[in-house]
Amino acid sequence: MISLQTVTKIYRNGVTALEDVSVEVEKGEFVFVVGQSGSGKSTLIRLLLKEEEATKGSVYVAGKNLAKITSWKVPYLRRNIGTVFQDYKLLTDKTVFENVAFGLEVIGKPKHVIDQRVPEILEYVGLGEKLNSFPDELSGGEQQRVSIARACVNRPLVLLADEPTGNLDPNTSVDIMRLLDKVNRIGTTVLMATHDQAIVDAMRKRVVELDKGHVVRDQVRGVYS
Amino acid sequence: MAIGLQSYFRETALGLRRNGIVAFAAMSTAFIALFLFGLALLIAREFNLVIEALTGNVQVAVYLTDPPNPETVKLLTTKLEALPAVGEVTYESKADACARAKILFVNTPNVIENVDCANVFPASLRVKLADTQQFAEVRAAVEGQPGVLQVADYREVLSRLVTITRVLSVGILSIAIIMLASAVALIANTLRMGMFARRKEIGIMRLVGATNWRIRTPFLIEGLVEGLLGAAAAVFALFLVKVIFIDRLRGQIRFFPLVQNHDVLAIAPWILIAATVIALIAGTIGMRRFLDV
Repeated sequence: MISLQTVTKIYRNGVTALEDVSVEVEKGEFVFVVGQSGSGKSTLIRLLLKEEEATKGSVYVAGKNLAKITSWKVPYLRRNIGTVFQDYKLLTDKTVFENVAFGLEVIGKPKHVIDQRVPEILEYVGLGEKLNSFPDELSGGEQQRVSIARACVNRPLVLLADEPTGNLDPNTSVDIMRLLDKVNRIGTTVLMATHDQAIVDAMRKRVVELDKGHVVRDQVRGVYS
Repeated sequence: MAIGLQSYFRETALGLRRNGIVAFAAMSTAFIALFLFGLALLIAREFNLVIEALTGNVQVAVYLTDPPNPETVKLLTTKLEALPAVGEVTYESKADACARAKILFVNTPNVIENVDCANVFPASLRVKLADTQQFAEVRAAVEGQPGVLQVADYREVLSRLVTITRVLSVGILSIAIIMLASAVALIANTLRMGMFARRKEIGIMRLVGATNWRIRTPFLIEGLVEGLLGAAAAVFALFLVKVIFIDRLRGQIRFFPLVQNHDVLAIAPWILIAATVIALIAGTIGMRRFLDV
């Protein structure tokens, strides 16, 4: 589902963010990418979204070589990839329902699809009662659930999560992890960048550790360090 | 598609409301620019009317004695056409001459009513010169020939009128172009501000896989609306100018035809096209760096 083959990324300012990185992720896997700040986790995610291009090597997502996708086709790639971030990225002037619906609206889904899928997914993430709340009225954990709902509402093949528990307390983090696990169980490939040691240790999933842009460990059922 | 369109317009309306003052500034500049542009076109039209009425756009007129003899007309035409300096020769019958006089004296209908229009204006051969320097040659060829009443030289009048038209419309056009450029800059600026205000939304749209066109179109429509509202105001203002200034002259200036409503209408499409073009240029400039994937 995701494949990086000897990928090197050097930014224009000369910083080498990733060097000779090779990672294979099968369909339906759950993978933690761990490492210190600056180890290249976020760069990895940006490469998978084609927000950045690899300097060397090739990146495949959902069977497509990203180097060969023309820029006007990038949006269609992203429709197969759900993304969740530390800061939720919700629109504060829209309700929970509208935030999730927005993700479908802007890719041209008709209203009847939106009206059916949005309540469905919000029920799934446990916010069936909060359709009409605004993000400010929700806790951090609930806001992250909305963003997960938005990421999943278009049924993506891959879910990329960049520090999704970064702003949350330990208990809430565990709830969010349960939800991501649930999303994973229905077949979505999940790749999560984190430096939350407790969570990685508790989940016992595959761990890819990056250090200064190199893969230093790739362990099935691993722990943080 | 209906839903799509609706949401485009909703976003456009929202954008316009959100930066109302800037949008208003852009619109007013577009208005002034397009008004000047229209004014230049209107002035050019006015002078063309005058030129057409006074000289029939002809540099030399060979007036014929009454009644014109078809044989003579043919002979003279051939003679003229044989000259290298002559570009085009057309025959204006007495009826044609009368019709043109009616246009020329349109503001003073009693002139026409009081003369025997069909008889008083002579028929003529109207000559456009390929080389205006060679007028003497034309005169020498036909003056004094049987059937020729008089050879009139309109080069002087024509060139003077053309110069005035050119100076006036080029002057106004260049001011209009500067204004059009500022309109482009201002509209581009409103679009950019709108995009900046909505950068979070745009970021999310990109993440979930909205196409560039899906993201850009509301802003393009916003620019178009600003440009076209400016254009509508400009057309309206030109009508006002026509009613307030030109219609007032109608009774006072005797010999010149003046622009009419349909002349203003005829330049309206050009103003709309100009508005569309400036909006599209502004859209391209305003959204360039902002929206690369």
